[in-house]
Amino acid sequence: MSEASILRWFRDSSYGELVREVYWLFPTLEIVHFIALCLLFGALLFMDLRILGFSKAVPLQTTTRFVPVALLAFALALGSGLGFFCSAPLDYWPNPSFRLKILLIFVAGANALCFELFVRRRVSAFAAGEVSLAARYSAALSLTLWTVIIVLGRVLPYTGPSQ
Amino acid sequence: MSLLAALEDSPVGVWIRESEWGYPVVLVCHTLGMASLVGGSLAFELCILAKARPAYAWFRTIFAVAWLGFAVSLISGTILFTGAAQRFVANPAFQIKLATLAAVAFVTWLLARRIRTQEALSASQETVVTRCLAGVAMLLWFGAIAAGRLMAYIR
Repeated sequence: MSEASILRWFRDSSYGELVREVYWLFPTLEIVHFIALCLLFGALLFMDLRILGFSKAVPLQTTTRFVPVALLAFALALGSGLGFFCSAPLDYWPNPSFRLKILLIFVAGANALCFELFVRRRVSAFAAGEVSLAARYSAALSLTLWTVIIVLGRVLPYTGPSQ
Repeated sequence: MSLLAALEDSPVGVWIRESEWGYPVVLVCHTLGMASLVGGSLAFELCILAKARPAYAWFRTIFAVAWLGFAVSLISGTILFTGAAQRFVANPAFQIKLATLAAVAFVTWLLARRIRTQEALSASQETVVTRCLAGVAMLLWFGAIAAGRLMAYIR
């Protein structure tokens, strides 16, 4: 399948048709996307700032309880974001901000997965004390990546090829 | 209305309207401020709602981030406002957004005061009133975000 036919598949999908035809759906998805963005960023702040070394007295297990919240928020952001994309994939795809945003979301996902697989298990061995350097790098990378992802999402309308 | 017109004619108002990159840059700041302020607040309120309150010291770190986000949102929001003050004031979505933000500020103040005075209380003993305040604050944040987004559609 060529790139153009994949984009047309998204455009002709029933989700894409729905978002184009129901006039209140796009703004509603925007509201969901923004709420999910805040929820995800808040959950990450809660976990990553603790790992970075703030408030060492708080057990890490208390903050990592936000993992399901972050996953739910990401699912909401993905579902609503897919709606924007399906409504006009041929406009989104050539946009450099969009491409970089998607790439960075994959990097952030890989970072979270690495943390989960290689770092978190060992972190729980420490009661409330020190966190490994790798964990702190991972937390700093996570906050940096998501900040840039938010910025790229917001400048999307200004960097499109039609602008 | 002359005050609003004067704001629009001020150097900041003219700059945000006429500069090519001014508007998107300030808008990005407003979004990052929102993410820190609302994100930090929602995480705090979820802890209370879920009866999973950590030590108050930890909330202080989160509050510091939320306050920083508030400062950034307020400054960037004021700059965006000066660009089209008269149109914003007449926009019902803007009026609802400001009213909702005033309400959430009050509820958060009540909530934070309760948490501070009940510091010794264990998280599992969280009272119904405290949890209700947290729930109301979360709903108000959702309302403020919705109203803010709809400002672009309602004129």
